[in-house]
Amino acid sequence: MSDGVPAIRIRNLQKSFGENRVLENVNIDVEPGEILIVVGLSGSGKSVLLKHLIRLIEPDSGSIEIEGADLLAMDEQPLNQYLQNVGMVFQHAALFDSMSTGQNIMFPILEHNYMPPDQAEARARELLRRVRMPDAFDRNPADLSGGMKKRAGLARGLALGPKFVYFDEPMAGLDMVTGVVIQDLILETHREFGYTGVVITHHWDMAQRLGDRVALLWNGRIHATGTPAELESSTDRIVQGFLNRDPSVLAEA
Amino acid sequence: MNVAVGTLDRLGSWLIEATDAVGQMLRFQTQVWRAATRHGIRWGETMEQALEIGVRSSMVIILTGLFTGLVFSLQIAYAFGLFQAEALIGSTVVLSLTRELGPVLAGLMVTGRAGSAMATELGTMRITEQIDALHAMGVPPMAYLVIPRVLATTVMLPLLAALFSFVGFVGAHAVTTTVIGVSSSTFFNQILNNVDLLDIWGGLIKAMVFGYLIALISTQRGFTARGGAKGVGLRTTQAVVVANVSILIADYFLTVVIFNV
Repeated sequence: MSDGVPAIRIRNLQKSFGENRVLENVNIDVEPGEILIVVGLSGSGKSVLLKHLIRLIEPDSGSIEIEGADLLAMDEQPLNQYLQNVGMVFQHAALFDSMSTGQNIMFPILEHNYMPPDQAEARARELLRRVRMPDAFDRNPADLSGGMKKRAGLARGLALGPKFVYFDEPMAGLDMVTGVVIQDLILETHREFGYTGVVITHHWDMAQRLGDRVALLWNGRIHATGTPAELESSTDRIVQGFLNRDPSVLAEA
Repeated sequence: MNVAVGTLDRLGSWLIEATDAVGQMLRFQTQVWRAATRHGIRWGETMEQALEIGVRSSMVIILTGLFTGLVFSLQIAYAFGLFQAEALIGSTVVLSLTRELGPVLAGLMVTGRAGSAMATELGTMRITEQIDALHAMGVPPMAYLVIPRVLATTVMLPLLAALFSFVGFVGAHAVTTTVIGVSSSTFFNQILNNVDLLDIWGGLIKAMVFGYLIALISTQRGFTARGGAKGVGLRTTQAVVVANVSILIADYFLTVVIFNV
């Protein structure tokens, strides 16, 4: 990658579902190796934005560049190549319930012939150890708690050693203690793998702790971006209203 | 007047919905074929599905085939007894089994057992983002989930229909020779005289078409499910109803084309 090219560049992204305009003129850059946190209220379009990054949703207009390459113009082979460099951690983990936890992690490795089966199993066990679930290899995903599912989902997302990891509401449905464990794991794995991360959340404490930069998505638009400290010191009424959970401001969303 | 307008209104809405559903199905079929040409066939998953559909459906096929043969030969015996034509029971039962009952009833059974399971499994995978996860990993969901099921059902249903017909034939032979009192040689001779290969092949071709329809309809309903658990339940019901009705409609036209009647 040439210097100065963002890992992800989104320009003028627009998306509507019927009459409902979900994303409007979204512009964001994500620098290589940084973690960008996208915060916003429920229904503000955060997950829709994230799904554009893996082409699960196509925009009405606008562009997305990945390391300078036009994501929306990629045909099957380059898209597949890119997706092999992406770890996607879904809100409810989306583990395949027809497989054991270990097989879930081995799945992308074997699918893309990344390693032979014995090495894939060793890697899956190692990744489960890293996410603090050393005994979960043979367990059925249905038997895991919500927090364990998310950790297994993270392990699966890291299976191919991705350059990009996208997290959809990693703390949703978790208690504070488990949420902190997930945050710790994101920090640890980011340090170790050096991936470029995009995290969707409505938890400001998570944004403060993990984010190199934060973007506030408000009514489908990027209302403000900056470091967590910059947003905290912002005098913007909506930013402060979001951070302080001001009902009069939140009601405008 | 108002009743007539209301009826026309409902009929119009139903026609629009039906046309829309057919359009969705044709679009889905195009996507399946395109995915098959782009990504090829995943033989491992196809074999798994063939075993799932074939082996796990075989017991219900044996049971329904056996009792269909038993009761059908009894009813035919009664009807043919009215004009002393019991000798023709064997060939009539076998013709009915191979040309109609085998493919149609096996199709209805497989819809109930395997088609509903396909719609439920894929629907659940859709609403829990497992299908999105496949895409996110660079694994084409259509190639991984849909094509193996369509191919496996298309291949396995003729085998199940043949099993149904064979077991039905065994049941019919037992009733005809022991209860009705027709000799075994008469039973077989009439079959050899009146049943030809087209009757068997025609039935198998029908079953192949039914298998394709069952899998295409069931996977489409599941693959495009939304609306949580209730949505999955609704899609499963739709899959079973639409597939069963499609089998019966297709059966009429296939009978006209294949057997030229």
